[in-house]
Amino acid sequence: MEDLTTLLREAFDSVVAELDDEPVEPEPRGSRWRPAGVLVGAAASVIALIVGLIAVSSPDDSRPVTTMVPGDEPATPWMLPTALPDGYELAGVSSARDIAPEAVTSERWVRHEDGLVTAVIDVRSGLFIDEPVPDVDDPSGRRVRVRDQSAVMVSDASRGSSRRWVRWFEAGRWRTVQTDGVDATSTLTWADALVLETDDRLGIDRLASPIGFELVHEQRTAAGEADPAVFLSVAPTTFDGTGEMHVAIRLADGPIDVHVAPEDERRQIGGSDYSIAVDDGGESPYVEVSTVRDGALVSVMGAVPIDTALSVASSLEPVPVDEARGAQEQAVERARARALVDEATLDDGRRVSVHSSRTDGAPDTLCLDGATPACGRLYTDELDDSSELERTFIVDDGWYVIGWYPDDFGPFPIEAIDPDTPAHVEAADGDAGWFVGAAVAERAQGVEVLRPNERGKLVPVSIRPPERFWP
Amino acid sequence: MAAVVDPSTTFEQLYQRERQPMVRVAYLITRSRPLADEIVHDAFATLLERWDSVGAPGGYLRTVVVRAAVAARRREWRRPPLTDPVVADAPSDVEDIKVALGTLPARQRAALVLRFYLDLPFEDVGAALGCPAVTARSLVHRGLDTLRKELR
Repeated sequence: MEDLTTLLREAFDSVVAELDDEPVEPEPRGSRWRPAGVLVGAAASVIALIVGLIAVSSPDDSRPVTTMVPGDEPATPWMLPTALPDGYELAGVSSARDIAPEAVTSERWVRHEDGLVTAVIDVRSGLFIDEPVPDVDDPSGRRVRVRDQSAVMVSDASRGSSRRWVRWFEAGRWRTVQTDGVDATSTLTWADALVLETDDRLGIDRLASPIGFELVHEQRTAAGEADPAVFLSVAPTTFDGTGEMHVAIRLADGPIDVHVAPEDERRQIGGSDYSIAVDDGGESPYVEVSTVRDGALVSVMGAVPIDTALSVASSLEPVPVDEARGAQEQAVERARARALVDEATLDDGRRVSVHSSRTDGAPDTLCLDGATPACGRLYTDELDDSSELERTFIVDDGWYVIGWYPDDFGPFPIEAIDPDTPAHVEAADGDAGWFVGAAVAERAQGVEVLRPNERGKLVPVSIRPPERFWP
Repeated sequence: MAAVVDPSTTFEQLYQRERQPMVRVAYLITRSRPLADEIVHDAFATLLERWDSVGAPGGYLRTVVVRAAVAARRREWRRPPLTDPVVADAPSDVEDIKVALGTLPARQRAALVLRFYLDLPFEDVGAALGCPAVTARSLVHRGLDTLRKELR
């Protein structure tokens, strides 16, 4: 066999060649997009009114109830596990806002059979794409008529399920009906039956109560607004680089991945329906367990057994913010009590430290002191063969990027910072390595420092805020 | 390095220049044309919102596309192996690799695309994936190791 990397390049070129041979514009949303249209749409969406919508659960009915609260901020969906698997601890509690790049309204209807989701209908409308639908000629798409409008239906059967999109432009907004587990005729029927809220530019297009379906959520999002989300880290108390879980909790008013799947890919626990996705392409299958509970979409992710992730997901309960804050403080104290690998004091007087929770003593946790100290543990995908640590913190209302590099890496001068970062960057020597500390603007993409690569050449390296959603 | 963008480049010019290359990258990771189109669309939309504040729009765009593609790939529901139709006159080794690529975890697959399709240095592979260069190197090596095992 030829050199593997050469063959790999040939394989990529071959795949791309097939892509380039395909007719373009197979998917309604992407295909109708044009820069000029986006500019108009974005400008329009910026001035859209902000109307909050909170989905809450009625204690007498498991079906989510929507409550309109004009002008209110959506509540942060604080939740904590009431029990953890043996040998696990809560390693982090934080919240952040998702990004909502455009004004979108939507509703989702789900059909259950024997407690399992068998079909989904999504209805969305947005200002973002505001051009007429062009003619397309794509094998996966066909032109249809919806509500006396020209529309395009695209079917995607490549994922083992039957997903369909119908999109058309009507009354100043792009309208989309997306189905999974629903045949083409029924999809068009639902699209025809849509009731448009044309008087309210953020009005929600409504289905006329499709028989057998249950409304599980609806959403109004103004441009640039984002709902707060909660993120938890659940990790083995004695960490050997594997087995951690990441929990994301969002208000259930965003896109929810409810898939139509065989029975063995769903579980019911305590009256809640859990979907289980497994990325089993690697040596350690990556599990994602999702459910909608108490008005929130909950996802637990990690390279762990399904039952382990399910036990965490099913134990999550809403808590007051003070309780969540207390849990975070306890997690920080536990981290700071770990074996100290290195420490230093930055010029501004803040103490930074590196700790280890690993059985082999390797560093995996960075801490930053302040009135509200913070610690961050790095996990399997971030650690790998690396011994350097980089983490972003929010301490005393400020954002800090902290990096620690073992002596093998330096210390080296910091010569570059991101131009979008109107803040200082400084370095401090510890006994075992050196620290970089940078205060960054909330929206900054990170900072850049010069660091030697494996050949000793200094190259700029970006230190970016961690991803809030595990990729 | 991040894609170099002349400061005078307009959003529309960047769109014209980078859309198709980014669709290819997203497609190599997700193996779904509709998904790739949507990811790139969303990435441009996100970039547009931050156009005035992003210092390196090319690199930012690539990062958003790659991370969204990795996330989308991971969200896929027990997706069948990402295989391609066999092309009769293509070398069998290449076809074997295309089949084996479908078995890789999302981040390894993305790392290989960035390294061997875009020919990026490990620093930029790491920047796009949100990890240090050494981690990117590890992901690439693990991806190659997995491919070798699959091809035995």
